[in-house]
Amino acid sequence: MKKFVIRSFLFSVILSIIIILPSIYLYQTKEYLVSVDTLIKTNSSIIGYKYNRENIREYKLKKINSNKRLDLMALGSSRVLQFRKEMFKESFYNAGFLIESISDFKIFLSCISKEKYPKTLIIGLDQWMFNENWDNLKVKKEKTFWTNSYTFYPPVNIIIKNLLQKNFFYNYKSDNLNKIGIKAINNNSGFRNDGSRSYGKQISLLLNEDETLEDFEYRDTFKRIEDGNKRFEYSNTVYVEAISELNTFLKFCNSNNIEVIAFIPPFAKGVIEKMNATNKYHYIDSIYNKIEPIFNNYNFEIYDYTNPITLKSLDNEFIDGFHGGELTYLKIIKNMISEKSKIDSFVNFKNIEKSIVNKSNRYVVY
Amino acid sequence: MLFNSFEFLVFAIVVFALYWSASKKNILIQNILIVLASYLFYGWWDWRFLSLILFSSTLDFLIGIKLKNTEEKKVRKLLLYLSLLLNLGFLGFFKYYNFFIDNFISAFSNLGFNLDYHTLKIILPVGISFYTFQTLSYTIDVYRKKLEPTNNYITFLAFVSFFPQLVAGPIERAKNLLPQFLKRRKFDYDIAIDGLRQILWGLFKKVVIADTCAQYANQIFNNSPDYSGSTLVIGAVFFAFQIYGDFSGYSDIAIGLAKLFGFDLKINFSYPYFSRDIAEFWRRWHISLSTWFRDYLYIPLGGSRVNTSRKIFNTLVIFTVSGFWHGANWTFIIWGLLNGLYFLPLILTKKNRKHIEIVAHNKMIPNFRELIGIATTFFLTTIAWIFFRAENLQHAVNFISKIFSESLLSTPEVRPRPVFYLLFIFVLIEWVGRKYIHPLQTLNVFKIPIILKWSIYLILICTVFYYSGAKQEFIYFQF
Repeated sequence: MKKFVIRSFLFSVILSIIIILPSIYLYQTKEYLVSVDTLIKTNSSIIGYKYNRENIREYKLKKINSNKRLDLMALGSSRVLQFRKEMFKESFYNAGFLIESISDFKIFLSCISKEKYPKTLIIGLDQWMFNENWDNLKVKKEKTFWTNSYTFYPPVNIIIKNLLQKNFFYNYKSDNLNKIGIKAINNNSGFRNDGSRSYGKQISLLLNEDETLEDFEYRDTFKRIEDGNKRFEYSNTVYVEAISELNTFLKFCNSNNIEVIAFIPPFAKGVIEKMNATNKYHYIDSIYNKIEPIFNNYNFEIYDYTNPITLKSLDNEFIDGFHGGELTYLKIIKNMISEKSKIDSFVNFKNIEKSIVNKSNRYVVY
Repeated sequence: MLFNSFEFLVFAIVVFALYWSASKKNILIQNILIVLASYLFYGWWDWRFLSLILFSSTLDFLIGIKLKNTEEKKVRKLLLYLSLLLNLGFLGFFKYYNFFIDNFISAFSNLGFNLDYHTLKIILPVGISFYTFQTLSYTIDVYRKKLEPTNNYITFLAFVSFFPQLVAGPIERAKNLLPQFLKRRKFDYDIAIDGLRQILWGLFKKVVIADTCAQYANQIFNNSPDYSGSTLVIGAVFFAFQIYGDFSGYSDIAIGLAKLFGFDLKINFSYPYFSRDIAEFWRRWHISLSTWFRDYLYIPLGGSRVNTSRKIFNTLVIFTVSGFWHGANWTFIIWGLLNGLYFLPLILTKKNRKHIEIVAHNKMIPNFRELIGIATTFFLTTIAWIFFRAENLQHAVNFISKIFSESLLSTPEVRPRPVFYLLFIFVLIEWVGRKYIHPLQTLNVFKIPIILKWSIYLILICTVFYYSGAKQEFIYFQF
């Protein structure tokens, strides 16, 4: 028995060392083992998780609840993430990436304390949210989807993955210190302090026309269209239940004095053309006409930018087939102002014009 | 509490430490500890069913004592029937009530009678089929006077509820396991190490092989109308490996755990996919159940010492019942029947005991004939597994029809290369270790240095951890 205990102990020690080494790396990079409350207090420059993107849901929710009441908040999928605080003169937070379907909007807002409801909400209504063949309205999410998404302890399979990738100790650089997560450190990609998305290394790859990019020349988006999957499912009619959910959400906003400015985000021109050629996405053409009356009922605004021609946005401003860059989103704001939108009171039009002229490159402005 | 969970790891370490230290090797204390640990382990799923297992154990314990004290044939028979009625009654109610009601009503409706009925929402107690068969074997053996009943209640409770094999077997015979609870257990270093190795190999089979194959098998079976015949073949093969890895992995963990506590459980799987005919397959697959049916159903029916038509009947009966044991669904019954049909030619030509030794016993590689035998047996069992896995008979028939269609020759839509490599390595390791209870025993045979041995263990553990992302329950828990 003694021999068994000694050998088992020795073996466990070796195994523990193997497990602990990559765990140190996960701790140093703050990918795991740092509480979400500590992260909120950290003035991070960027948060980019490699393994656990779900963490960001609880993080953003807590951040909203811990901040002062916001004047303006962007809410939607990854297709609102390009709005940045630099674009507005009032307090702003980007709660993009937190919403997947129409029913999510109301449930998410109910996770925020009432006194922290934003005064004005910019919401992105993705086209597929109105597609019965994709939409996941059928399974309504629980609040825990946002309130309990954070994982503190790394799963052992993640630790072993890091072990195989020989990730033991990370390189201490001063500019890495306030970055959170492996992607933030390695690629400078993730979420900025205002909740907006930094594409980091991907931008330089795009500028260099790197063929290794996943959606290089929209090949991934085109494949989705050809296969009719991954949010590009075919449908010719607008999903009635989604319209009803939208109405419920707008009613909720109206009764809570939240002003809503909604928009349907743009696809790249090449993608729109490809979709039109299939003749299988007629539901998209009807979305605006179906939802505009509901917005009018509450005196809220709705804009349709499905086709980027409305914005005079070129294909080379798009990060991929369905995510425009910052420049595209500045053009959205500019267009809204020209349509006499209430967003005008949150922006300095001259600054917007100036930023467009002085952009860093065709994707990034600030 | 799954064997492949962190809770179980903590549970097993604590019980192991208490068992060998705090108990001071006192048999009674050890047995009490086993009962408490086993009831905790079982109650982790659903504590409400603890009363059921306690009732079943107490009943058979009392019947055993009563059988010992009476020689009167009528009374003895009555006691046996009481045990059969109550044990099979519980099993029948929990497992088959809705099945019989549904089929009864559907049969009447086909005759033009529409009956008003309702099914019950019955939760199946985990492992009921396993422990029911284990206690039944005790009562039947005592009745047949092949086993001396025990007077020790704690020992009997420990025998029925022994946690390593409580929920998914192996179904132990009282003759083998019960005496082990009555004698002093000695800790044996070599046996304990071998137990740990077997647990490790079982975890590898479950977490790495079964759960990985399950992802693709589920995808293909759940969307079978959308896939070509060639993809469905891949789905069926993946399921064959899933169920083998899942169930034999569980058995390995159970047997390995028992070794750590000083118990020797019977082997339950012995490289069934290397079988050269279906009879050999059934001697190597779920051995504890096959031999149970052989001893308590097939032989009492007359076995093979009867005329040909009776022999055919007996064979088909035990395979059909074996299918039904797995679940209240026609798919399981057809699976059993199909295996019975595969078996018939061998039993009729008296070739069912042709292959006793493991294939290529004294060689490294099999000859052509053996290879053909292995491939044919694997093909037949895989076709039968389709019924086992399908949602219903229509699903299985459509699945098989599509396999034998033109699309069989098309390029499969699902072809995960890493899984193919993984299966290749797995089959290779099993082939090398086929002469032993589990392949890791070869490490001792080849006298590999300890550093290399430990490195192999570490690699296997890391691989298990690597694949441990999505935990899945063991398939056989539902039976």
